[in-house]
Amino acid sequence: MTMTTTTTTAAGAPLVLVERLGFGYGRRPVFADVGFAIRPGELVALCGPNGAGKSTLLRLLLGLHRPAAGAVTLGGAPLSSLTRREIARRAALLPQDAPADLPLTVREAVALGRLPHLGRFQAESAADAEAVARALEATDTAAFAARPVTDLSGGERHRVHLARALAQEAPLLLLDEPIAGLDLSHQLQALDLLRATVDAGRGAVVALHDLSLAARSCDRMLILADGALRLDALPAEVLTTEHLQRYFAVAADVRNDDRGRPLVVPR
Amino acid sequence: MPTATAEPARAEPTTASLAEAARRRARARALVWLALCLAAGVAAMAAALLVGPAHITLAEVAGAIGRRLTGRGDPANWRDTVVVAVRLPRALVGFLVGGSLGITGAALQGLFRNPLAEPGVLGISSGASLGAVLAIVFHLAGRAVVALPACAFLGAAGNALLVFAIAARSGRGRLFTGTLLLVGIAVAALNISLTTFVLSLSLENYEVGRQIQHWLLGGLEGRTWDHLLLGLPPILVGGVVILAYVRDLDALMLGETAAHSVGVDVARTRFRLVLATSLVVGAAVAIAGPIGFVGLLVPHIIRVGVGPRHAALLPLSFLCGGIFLVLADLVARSALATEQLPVGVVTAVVGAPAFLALLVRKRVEVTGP
Repeated sequence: MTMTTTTTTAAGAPLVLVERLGFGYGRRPVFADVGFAIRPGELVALCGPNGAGKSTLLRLLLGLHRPAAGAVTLGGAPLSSLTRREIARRAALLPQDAPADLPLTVREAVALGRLPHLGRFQAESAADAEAVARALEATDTAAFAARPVTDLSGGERHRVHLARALAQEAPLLLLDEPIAGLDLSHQLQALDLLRATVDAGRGAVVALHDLSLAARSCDRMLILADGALRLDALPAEVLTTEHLQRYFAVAADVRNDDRGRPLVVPR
Repeated sequence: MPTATAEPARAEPTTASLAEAARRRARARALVWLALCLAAGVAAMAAALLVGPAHITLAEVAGAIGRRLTGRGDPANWRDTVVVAVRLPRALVGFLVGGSLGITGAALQGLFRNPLAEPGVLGISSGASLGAVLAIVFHLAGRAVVALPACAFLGAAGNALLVFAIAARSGRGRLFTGTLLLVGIAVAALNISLTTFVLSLSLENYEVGRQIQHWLLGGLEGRTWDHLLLGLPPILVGGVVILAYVRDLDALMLGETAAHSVGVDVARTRFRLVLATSLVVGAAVAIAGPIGFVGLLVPHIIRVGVGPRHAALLPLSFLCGGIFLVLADLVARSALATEQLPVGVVTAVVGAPAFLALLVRKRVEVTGP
């Protein structure tokens, strides 16, 4: 049932290579035999019904769970051979549950992304300050760098957390439902920002619920459902009435917008 | 005098320079606090050396310390003896113990992302007490001078790890701070009742019972250079380990998953910091008995002043905790004309209302799952 399409845009060694990965909580299996690769310049959506294991898969890519089977190769090295700091220099995760009551200023929060580059008693260097400034600039958060994170709106706070991940300067970004809770305008802003970041040479896996928005912004879509990776293909290939029925139990039509991008229209 | 006819084009403050200015302000604020604390520390020390039943002037205090440092001490001069052998070690022990409680309170609050975390709350202090009492009962304390602090450390670390393991198990691997505190309170209650049990058994032996009771009251009465030298190495080692984790503690404010993402091994950080705080608290309890509220109160005051970043918070909590305990001891030994109060009574009388006032003013937000 797994369908694989090699995309033409991607080039270079994979930032992450996932092979026959399986995981379960206790005796309850979540998924098995998951395999895919992410290369620089690729923005890949990770979609699937609730409980399919999207967050779990992202956490596995960061080594936060021990896989039951299979292997993850991060930037050419087996994940199990890397220290936490080495992992943090290769992949940055934006979790779903970012605290809203962070008592730091925006700049202080973003500067925490430099932690994997700094020794224990080492002060922030000019290079670190530049990385932080670049991240603030790229996410358009420099204007409120001196304000406490608690003062910000949801959309602004999202950009601050993305800036933290960018300051980390890891080539791979993992984002767990980054646009949940944002209004449509901020959702589009967030995805466009992510697109621009990836176009600048990183790779990203982003867990998304909105399939039409995923198709609009992403190069590929992964469908995780019923304990396996069911699809890894271009959005136009993934989004069909048959697939939506089979993996999401949704009766929906798929239309193309004026630019030929697929839109999911529930019946 | 030339007057400017045209306003020179003033550079717009860039956003980067705004952030830089804010950073400089934060650093300046921390430095001002540091300077204030150092000045207050010197003043508290001077007061601790000057105040007492024997009237000794500042010049005599300075002279006594100077003679001692240059090795021209005069054993026949009773003033020298009072300053150098009684008041100075007592003040230094007080500073060291108060600082230990302050820095460990701040570290535990950051580690468990809970403003109520404190050595006393997590069963660390009561575990140290139980270990120390057992050392006295089994006559270990009389045999080797390091036995008491060693047993206090074992009691502290054993209980901290027990609390930790039970809380982690009940959360199926995840650590909920609410659970952690409740388990800590339960284990602390058990420790205290076991300590009382041991005490009641040992009352038959007058000497041992008296020794335990005296020790349990806590305080700095009769503390000497030996106490200082006994406490200093473990507190230094533990303190340096804690200070090595300031940035990791900052990252934990982002939440556990995000802390992992920026390279913090949360489980290992917890384990090492719990051991380091146990080492520091064990030593502090061994030389001064259980003293409450310093670890709870001091970091909150510092946080209001310099913000939550641990690079400033931890060292200042040490300084301020030290000052607080030296001053509390000053009150304890001069409040009553005939009797010395245990210093723990003073810290509780000052600490409890101040902490409640902080809570009511919502400076302290209790959050977390």
